[in-house]
Amino acid sequence: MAIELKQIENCIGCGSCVLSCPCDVFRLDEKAKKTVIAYPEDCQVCSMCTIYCPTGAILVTADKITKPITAYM
Amino acid sequence: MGSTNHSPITELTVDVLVIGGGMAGFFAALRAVEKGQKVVMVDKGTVGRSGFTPWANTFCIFDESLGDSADDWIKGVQAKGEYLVNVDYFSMLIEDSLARYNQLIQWGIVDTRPEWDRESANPARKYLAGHDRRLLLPKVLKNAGVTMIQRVMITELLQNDERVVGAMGFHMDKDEMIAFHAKATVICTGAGGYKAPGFPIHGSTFDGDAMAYRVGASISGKDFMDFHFTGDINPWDVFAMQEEVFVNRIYPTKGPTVNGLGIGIDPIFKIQAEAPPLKEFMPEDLAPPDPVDHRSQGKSLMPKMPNGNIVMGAATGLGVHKSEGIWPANKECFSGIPGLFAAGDALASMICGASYPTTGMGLAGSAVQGYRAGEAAAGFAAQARMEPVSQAALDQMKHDTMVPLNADRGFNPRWVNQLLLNTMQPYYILLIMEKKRLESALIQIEFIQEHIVPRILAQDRHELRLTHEARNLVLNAEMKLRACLFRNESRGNHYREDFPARDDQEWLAWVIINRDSDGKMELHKQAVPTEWKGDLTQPYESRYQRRFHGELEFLRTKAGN
Repeated sequence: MAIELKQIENCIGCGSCVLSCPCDVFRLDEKAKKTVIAYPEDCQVCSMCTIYCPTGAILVTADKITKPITAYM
Repeated sequence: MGSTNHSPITELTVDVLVIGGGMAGFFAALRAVEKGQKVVMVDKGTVGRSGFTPWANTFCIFDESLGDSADDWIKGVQAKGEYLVNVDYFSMLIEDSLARYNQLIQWGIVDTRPEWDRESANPARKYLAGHDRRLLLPKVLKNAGVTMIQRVMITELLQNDERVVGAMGFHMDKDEMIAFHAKATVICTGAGGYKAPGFPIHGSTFDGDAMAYRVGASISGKDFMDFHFTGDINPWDVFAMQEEVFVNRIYPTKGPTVNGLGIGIDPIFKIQAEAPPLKEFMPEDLAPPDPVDHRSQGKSLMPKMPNGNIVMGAATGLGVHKSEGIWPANKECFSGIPGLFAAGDALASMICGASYPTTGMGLAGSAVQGYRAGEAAAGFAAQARMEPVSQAALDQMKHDTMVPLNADRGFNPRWVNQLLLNTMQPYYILLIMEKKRLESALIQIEFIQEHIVPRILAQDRHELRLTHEARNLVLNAEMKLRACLFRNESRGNHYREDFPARDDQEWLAWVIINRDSDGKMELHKQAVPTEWKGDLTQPYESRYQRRFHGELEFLRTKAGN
């Protein structure tokens, strides 16, 4: 996986990752006050989220494995 | 799904609308505000953190006090850009780059503090706290009085007769559309690419070029390919292997002098023809720099790739900075469509011509042009009246934008992107080009455009963004393939193996793309002014020092016939 929540318990729900991601990968779970990697398949592995995450909750790795794509839904 | 998306239209009225929050948009908005206009900036992501600007780390400055000569720079860029450089726009860089750079220093966006001690245990975050240029950028805008609207993707420009009178888009997080009624609109949406691994360009999707084309603007520069690099340890990411501070700083660079070749596609010949790549495939500024020039700060700007080789061709489909985009109708960033201006990578200012001459011209060009475009747009807005758009037109536009979200079934936008990648990315399509291969790719793209794009299904607003991006990417693919087919020669970063040499008689010209009255794509040449063609009496091999594979044999055969 290219992107994962390394330490979800560290996430303070500040939304920095939502604002930092050029690919709109994150959504904020307002109730749980935690971030959600909503669209991991669209991660471009640029590490912008990790630069702006204040608590080191997100891990971006070199390998990118994505879900198979269904052409027509 | 249809019933859940009412998407009420919020209407806003503004003097100058700036679309895009990178370096060009930043200066456009600031200058228009300085000129007394009410300015709104709209960005599909976050101002300062979307597009290419967050990654740019070089800024080219012309500084006479350091011995720079305008004549040398112009001669240098003309040779490297292979005589397709627009000298008017390049001169703008010579005139204004130092002033813009000094402004960036003043705001702290260019960080002039001593280099971070790379050996120290201090985390980079601590060093950057309060000095982060990506966070300073929106702060400066806010202090100046620019209203920023983020996470709104603009999908179309609004028109009243021939004039552009604003733009419309959808909110990423709310069931809402926003119509901006504006006296003047500045497109600062950057470039685009087909997201091969290795360059963080996923959010840059030629949106401005596509929207401007649809309202009748001329487009140019689609025939030249960028050729960025990455590393084989993690080809997905050219930056991950660099130190954080490196990608957070902007380094000054010097301009294109007469020597050197600029960034070309030479290494790809090695793959295709087993020919050795030219030693000079990197611009001299990327090599360890001249220690007497303080601009380089004694650092090599070459990314560090300690564990691997450099992989070339990391950003296929990306054009040469500042060469592809909206074709300017004058020297003031005007698109030719009343009310519409452009700057940065969305403007075909041709300051680089056919090939990227040196590092730093991308960011500096955006700053300089943004400022000028902001001034021109403010001047236009001060004289112009607000022109209305009918409610019916807004409703129609809203309907068209929301079609993918309201469909029951359809194609996956990610699949469309995959098709695009597979069609446009291979080196034998846009790097080593040939008529039949370009035509075969064009047939694919035309099919995708006609049959797939109108039937994409967006399951949520994130996918709605992907859908509109895919639509713009496909339109740009058509422009690129047609422009590459049209230019029957090789020049700079345009290599046709069926025409592997420059043809100065036919092709000291730019390729201009328009939508004709039937909605078809039309292409024509616009000749480079005679005074910008360089010394035509110079022998071919010294006029053009980059050798294309097969070029000399081709010329010999042609001369023999």
